[in-house]
Order: sequence, then C-alpha cells, then structure tokens
Amino acid sequence: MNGERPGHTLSATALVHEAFTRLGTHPALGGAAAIPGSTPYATFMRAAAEAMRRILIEHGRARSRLKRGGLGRMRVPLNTIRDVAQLAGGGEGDDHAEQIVALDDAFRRLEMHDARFADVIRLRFYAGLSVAETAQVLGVSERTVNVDWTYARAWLARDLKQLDAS
Amino acid sequence: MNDSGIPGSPVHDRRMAELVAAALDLPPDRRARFVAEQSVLDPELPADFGREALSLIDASTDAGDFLSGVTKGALIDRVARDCADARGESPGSALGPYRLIEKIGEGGFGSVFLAEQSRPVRRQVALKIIKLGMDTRQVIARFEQERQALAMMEHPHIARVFDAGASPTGRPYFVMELVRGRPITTFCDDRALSIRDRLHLFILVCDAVQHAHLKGVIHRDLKPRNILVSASENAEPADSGTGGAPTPKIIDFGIAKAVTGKLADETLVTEASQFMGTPEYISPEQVGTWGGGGYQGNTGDGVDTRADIYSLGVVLYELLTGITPLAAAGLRSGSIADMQLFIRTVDAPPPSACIADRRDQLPSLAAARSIHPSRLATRLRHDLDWIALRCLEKDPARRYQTAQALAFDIARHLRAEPVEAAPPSLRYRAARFARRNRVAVLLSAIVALGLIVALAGTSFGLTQARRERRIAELQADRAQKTADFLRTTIEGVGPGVALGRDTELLRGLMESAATRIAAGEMAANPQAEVELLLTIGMTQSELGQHEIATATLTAAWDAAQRLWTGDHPTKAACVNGLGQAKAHLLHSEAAALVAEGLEMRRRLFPGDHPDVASSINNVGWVAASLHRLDDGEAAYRESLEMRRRLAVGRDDPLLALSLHNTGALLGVRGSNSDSEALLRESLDMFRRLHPREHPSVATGMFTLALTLRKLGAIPEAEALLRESLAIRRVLYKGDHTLVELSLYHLAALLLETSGDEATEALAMATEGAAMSLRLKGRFGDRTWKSLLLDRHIRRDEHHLAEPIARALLAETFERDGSKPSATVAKAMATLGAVLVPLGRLEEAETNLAAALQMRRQLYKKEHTDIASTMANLADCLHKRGRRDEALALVRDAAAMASRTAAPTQAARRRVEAILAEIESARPPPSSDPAPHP
Repeated sequence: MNGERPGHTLSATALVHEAFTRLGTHPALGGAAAIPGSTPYATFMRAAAEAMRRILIEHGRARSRLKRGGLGRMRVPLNTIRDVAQLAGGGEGDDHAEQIVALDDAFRRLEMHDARFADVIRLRFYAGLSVAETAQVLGVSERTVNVDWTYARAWLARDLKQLDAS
Repeated sequence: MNDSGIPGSPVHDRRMAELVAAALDLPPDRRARFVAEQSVLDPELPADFGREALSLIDASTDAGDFLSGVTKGALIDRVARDCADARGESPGSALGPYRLIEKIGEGGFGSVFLAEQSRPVRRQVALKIIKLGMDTRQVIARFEQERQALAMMEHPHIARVFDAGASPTGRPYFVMELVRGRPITTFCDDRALSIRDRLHLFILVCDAVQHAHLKGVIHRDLKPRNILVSASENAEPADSGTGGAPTPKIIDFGIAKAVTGKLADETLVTEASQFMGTPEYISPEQVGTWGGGGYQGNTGDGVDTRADIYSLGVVLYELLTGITPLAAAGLRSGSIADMQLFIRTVDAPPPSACIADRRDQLPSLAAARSIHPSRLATRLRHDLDWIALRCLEKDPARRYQTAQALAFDIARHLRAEPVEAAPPSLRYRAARFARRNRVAVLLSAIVALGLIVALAGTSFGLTQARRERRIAELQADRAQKTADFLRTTIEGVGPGVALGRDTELLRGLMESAATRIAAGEMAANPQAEVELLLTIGMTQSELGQHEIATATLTAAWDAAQRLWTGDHPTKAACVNGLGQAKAHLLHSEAAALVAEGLEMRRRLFPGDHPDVASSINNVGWVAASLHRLDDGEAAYRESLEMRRRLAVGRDDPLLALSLHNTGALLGVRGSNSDSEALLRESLDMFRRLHPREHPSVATGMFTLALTLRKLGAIPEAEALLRESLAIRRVLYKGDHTLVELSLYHLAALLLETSGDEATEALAMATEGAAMSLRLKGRFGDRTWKSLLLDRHIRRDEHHLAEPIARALLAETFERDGSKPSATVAKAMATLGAVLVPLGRLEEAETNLAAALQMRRQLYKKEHTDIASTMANLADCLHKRGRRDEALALVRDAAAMASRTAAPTQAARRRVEAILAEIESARPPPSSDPAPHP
C-alpha cells in the first residue's frame, strides 16, 4: 500500500489502511489508540477520519482532472452518494470522481458554516464510525449525534441541490 | 439576547438542528405547521428562521438515498487494530526468544513471519501472529488443549507446532516448523504433474491426515494454502530437473481449532472476503452448525474427522480439475446465507463433467497435467469421479470414514483394481465371484438388473433442477454399466453352458427383465436399453425361445430405430438378431431383415470385418432354411473366406462355425467330398478350441457323420454318431431335441446296417419316439414312425408297415389339413405303396393317384419322388389288370428316374424293377375268347 495509483479503484479497506499508515509515525498513536473511549482514541479517530477524507479527495480530484481537464462545479445526482465504500470503490467510467469532488466542496462550505456539524459528517461518513462511536469521540450524547447528523445531511443536500440552479 | 438570533452562531445552529430533526420526525403534512409554531414561540429567532428550516427539511426529503449507506463502524475498528498490530509487531521486534525477521505471509487469521529462535535452540521458525479482536486467553487456552496431542505428532508430512504465547499487545502467536513450499495446487501446476503423480502426492497428504486423526487432532481448515509442497533439498538437480521427490507438509494443524470456535461464525457473518476468502473448503456440517441445521457429529459442534475428509475431497477435486467443486457448481459470492445454503445443498458435478463444461480452459488444464486435452475428461471418468464425489458427500456418514480409506481407494485406482467408491454396479462386486459360478452370476445379475431398473424409475423427491440432472446422469451411467456387465457376462457364459442348468429360471428372469425394460424403465439411458434388450433377445433366441426372442428383439429394433436415424453397429445387430429369430420361425420377413442388417454393416465397416462376416453367415443360414440353396451356399462361402482372412491362421470359433455351416450345406446339396473336407477341418478346430463336452464338438461330429454316411463310410459315421450322442446326453441331461436327433440318426443308421439283429436300434427308436412325444407333443414322433415304417418296407414287412402308414397319414391330415404339402403327399404315397403288396388295390390307387397329382403340383418339374409314385401307381394298376396303362406309366417313370436320380439310388432301382416286372409279365388272358384256327 504505497501511494495511489491513478485509474485503480480504492476499496474502503485500502482507504483506511492508507490513512492509518500515514498516521503511523505519530508518537501519540500506537496500541493505546485502539482502546475505544480513551482520549487518544478520540484524537486518533478524528485525525484518521480527516486523513481518510483527504485520501478520498485526492483520489477523486486526480481522476476528475484526468477526465475533464479542469475543475468545475457540476451537478451530481444525490441518490448516487450513499457511503464512502461505494464512492471509493467506483470502477472505470463512472462518475464517482465527480461526486467525490462535489461532495468535498459542499463539505468544506459546511465546515466553514459550522465545524461541529462537519465533524459528524467526517466521522460518520468518511470514517464510517457508528453513532455510538461518534458520540464517544465527540463527547456528546447519541441523540445529539443523530440530530446533528440530520441537520448536516440536510444542509449538504440543499447545498448540492443549489448547484442545479446555478 | 442569546446567540440564537445570530445566524451562524453555534447556538443558532443548535436550535436549527433541533428544529429540523424534530420536524423530520413528524409526518410530512404536519411539518410546516410545526415549524411555524416553533419559530413563532421564540421571539428571539430571526424572521426567516422558519423559512430556513423548511428549506433544509425540503432538501433532506428530496435527497433520497443521499448518505444513506453509512457503515456501522466495525470496519474501522478492525482496520485500526490491524494497523496497530502491524506496527506493534514488525521486523526487528522480538517476542520472547523469537526475533521477527520478515513477514512471509498473510492469512485469514493473522500474519506469518520468518523468525529466529534463540532459546533453547537456534533455528529458524515460522511465527504466526493472530489478529487482535480474538480473546487471547481463550485462544491460548484452547491451544493448550491441543498442545499435548500436537506435541506427540511426528510425521514427515505434518509441520510441527513448537510453541504458543501472547505478544505484549495481547495477541496470540504460534511457533511452527518453517516450511518453504508452494500450495499443493500451485506446485502441481508449476511442475505440470500428471494425474498419477498428483495422486501419489495426495496419498501422502492423506497419510498425514490419518496420522493426525489417530492422535485425535482434527485440522478443520485443510486447503491448498495449508498443504505446502517443496521439492526435497538433497537431490541432484542434474537428473530430472524437478529437484527430487516432492514433499508435502500440512501446516496449521491444531491452530484452526484453537483460533476458531466461535470466531468462524463471526467471520462468516461479516465480511467474508476480508477474512477467510470464500468458504470453499469448509465442510457442510461446519457451515451448517451456525444458525442450526447441519449433521450431528460427535464433538458437540457437529464436526469430526470426516470434516477433514471433505476438505481433502475439495483439494483432490481441485488437483484434478483446476477449480473447486463449489465453483464448478456455480457458487457466486452473494449473501452469507446464500452461500451457506449453497454449500449445504448443491452438489458439485463430477470432475470429468466439470472438465467437459470448460472447453476454453481445457488446453491449459491439460498442459498443467501433462495430458492430451482430449483425454483429460476420460482419464477422470469413473474411478476418480466416484472417489472425489464420495469425499464431498453432504452427509458425513456417506464419505470415506478415514483418510486411510481414501488413500487406499486411490491406490486401488492406480493399480487398476476396482475401487470401493464405485456405485453399486455389478462389475466390481462380481468380478471374483463370476469365476466361481458363472451361471449363478448371470442369474443374480439379471435379478439385480431388475432391482436397479426398478430403482431407476423412482423419483427422489428432488427440489432442484441441477440435482435432478446430476442424478439422472448418474442413473444413466449406472444403467450403462449394468448393461455392459450383463452383455459381457452373457456373451462369456454362452448358452451352451447355461443350457444345462436351470433354464426355466433363466428364461423367466430374462423375460421379466425384457418386459420391464420394454415398459420404459430404462428411459434414462436409451442406448443401454437397446443394448440390453438386444442381449436378452439374442440369449432367448439361443435358448430356443424364438417367439419370445422375436418380441424382445422387435422392441430392441424399434428402440434402435428411434435412437439412431442413420447407421449404427448396435442398430445393425438388432435387425440382424431379429432376422435370425424370425428365420427360426420361418417368417418370410427374415430374409429382408437379415439383408438389411448386412447392408448396414457393409456401410459401417467397409472391407473385412467380423460383424459383416457374421451377417453374411446369417444371410446364408436364412437362405438355406428357406431352401434357397444356391444363395445359401454363396453366402456361406463368402463368409467363410472373410473369416479365414480375419483369423490369419489362428483357430477361431467363428471360422470353425463357418466351416461347419458351409460343409453342412454342401452335404445337403450333394457335394459330399467337399462337404467332408470342410467338416473335418471344422471338427478339428472345434476340438482344439473346446473341451470334449461342448455343443460345437458334438454338432461337428454329428454333421460330419451325416456326410460320411452318404459317402458310405459307415463305421466312422457310426462311431461319430455314438460319440456325439454320448456328449449330448452329458450336456443336456434328459429330453432335448439334439439328443433326440442324435438318437434318430444313429438308430436309422443301425437299422439300415444291422439287418435282423436291430435290438439296440429298436431300443433307441423306442426311447427316441418317447422323448419326441414329450418334447413336441402329440405328433412329435412322426419322424420315428417314418423311420420304422421305412424299415418295415425295406424288409417287406408290409403288414407291420400298414398301421404305421395309416397313423402317419391320419396325423398328417389332422395336423396340416388336406391342403397340398410334401408331407401329405409323402404320407399318401407311402400308404399307397404299402397297400399294394397287401392287395388292397383300390384304396392304394386312390392314395397313389392323389399323391402323384399333389407332387406334380408341388414340384412343378421332374423329381425322383414323382417317378417313384408313378412307378408304384403303375404297379398298382398292373395288379388291377390295366397293363397297358401301367406300362406306359412305368416307362415314363423310368425315363424320369434316369434323369433325376443316380443309377445306384434306391428309388431309381425300384422304379426300374417295377418296369422290368411289368414288361416281363405275361399279358393276362383277354376277356374275349380268341378264335382258334
């Protein structure tokens, strides 16, 4: 697992492995990070989730550039973005690259609007944590996580939909 | 004022999130009102709070599946641990006395490292670290249970497990003998090992597994990756280039059990492709214990040594065909539940069928097995199919019960001995039994056929089309095997031997078998059906049951015509056999049928061929039995010459038969010396081919005797007839047409030659006549009557002859009616001839005149018999005083006789005698007184 090979698919597992490998040298990490509920665990997870997101974006942007030779806002059908494994595992000739890019743009706007909601997206969508695990990392109740998730999702949906209009 | 009024502030957004989430919990038609109410409630909310909320709500509902597939989190946990593991234990780190050098493999349970052991001995070992997530204490504990048994296992083909422990991070590890090698399947493909070599290797593996089982250790995870093969190091590379005898070693014995247990269930449930690969090597009972079902084993969890047998079967299958049985059966990765159901219910195709299905891969598969592509499927058929499938039985009780049994069966196959895995066809079971008692075997074979045929008709309550097809194939195969066996047994036994014993039972069994087959019980395999009907029909024919044989063979012929539209050897055999049977019954179609068979065979086999010679022989035989003697002789000669060529100087029963038939026909036609030569040759050959008590030897003697008699060599003829009779008495033990025939001819010869002292002959005649009546019924002794009649006539014992002649005539009328026939004519002529010397002239004249007229009608040309009758009638007329009439008649008779008969022939001499008598007789006094001068 040494780097991205353009044109090849990236499975969810590979994605996570890649993230962890990049984080591997961090002294704060190590065996202790594997214990859920601990502070190091939370830190680790947040960092890992961000790393995963970045890997995915790189993957998507690289492919998107290859395909159309430039950035540009584009419309994506929302139904097609379901989870990261599906996005990451796209095959040849699909539009996942565009979806990744579009989603990332929306995500960054959300992050600017309210970082907390972006956190939930990051942990749940990009890192694949459960509601309980996300609550643990963020230090909030599961109900809060659910509410935040609902809001964040609606916000992203509206943002991506608005692309249509423009 | 709180921050909720400020868009973008955390509090504001918090309120917004709460409102949106709450609204989405409500049914759609109530949301707008709810939002309106809520936003009005708090005056500090900005004016467009509600509108904002609604727009978010709308976007959310419009988004459909957006972000709906978010995973549950198990993924990242595991991978996190993976990475922690990988970092924790990496090259350079040490675990107790073991120093990790490099990672050499990755498996379902963890990683394998090459390690260096420092204490108590320095050596290189393999160290397998199990993934986190398993309860280390439990794993170690379970391993300890196995450890004793594992420590006692010392086998050249089992990798030793030396030690076990736990890493600082709490992961269990195992220390094993370092094995360098390739998975057995890869190894065999790389070296292009032949099927035989693969099997030899596999036997070594079975041996190892057997050893482990005896120690009470079940592997539970046998697969090619756990069976590593290396070429042994201490070989000279120069010789064969393969580097020495391949050595298999099974690794991970005992680990699977320690590590699995509950884990297997979990890993199957979750991402199977991540952790275990598709479960192609797992036995159905191991799959089945999860979620209930499966078969009961004796280890509580339903798994025992027979699970390893199954796995061995999968490996064997893969060695033979290149893919696993489940893949061959069409396993697609799908949901776990689907795969489990598949494993537990779907049967794999036999290896040979699997090969046949994969034409495009055949060249590479065959090359990897050092065999020609066209021969691979054949190589796997039968034995290897059965062995592999027996290992793969869903029910453990139906598999080999030990690895040793499996190994032994493979060894049997390699020695070309019958294997135990063969289906219950008779060939294997009866191979030795047959030699001891061939007829009993034949009978039991027919009974078994009845059973198998009966079974083939029952339904198995199948639920899947694929299983149905497989079972139908196996049934058809079974039927074919049974038919083959029956045919060879019947042909080998020969009715000659079977005839002596229990023919009634044999006939009954054959008839019932034929009926059931004709009723459709072998529909699974139409070809086997035809062959079997043909064999049964031919045997019935040879047993003398020509009517029943005709029915059976008609069924065979009909089925053959449906099965093959063009020429086919079996089809030709059917029409030929049917023709023969009908010829025995003197059906007019016989000739056409036999001719059709011959034409088909000539087309199928141009040039000299045994089947063609046989057909020509049959054509000749049919012609001869219809008295078309020219055609018959020509055919016999042709068949004889072909068989001479085919035999190339060796003794051959069919050649001897042709010699005999041709010689016999020549004898009938009067070419007696040619006949003698051929018959001697055939008898000599029969004597060389068969023991003395053999039907062919007896028949050869008999026929030669007849010819010799005609040639006047009476003493030798008598000797041969005596011997033939003696042999036939031994062979047939009681009433039999052939015994009667021998009696007849011997009696006839003795009567002719022994003059007054004919005690023996007369005794034979009595015996013969009685036997004849028993065999043929009421009119059975006709020939005997004729024999005695002839004797009496020859000896001028007319008073003794008369009652016999009358009886014969009466019987003939009763049996044949009065329509013109040679027999009726003869009876009338004989009676007439007998009555003349007795003075009953009127009646004699009636008979003789009628006989003459009938004979003229029948023969339509000159014949000695007509001349005889004319002469006798003349004699009669003469005695009645009509001399002129008589004279004219007898002169004609004599003239005819001189043309139709040789001078020495008795009939001609008799005619001439009558002529002489009438001519020399003084005319009777005229009825008018002549004037005296």
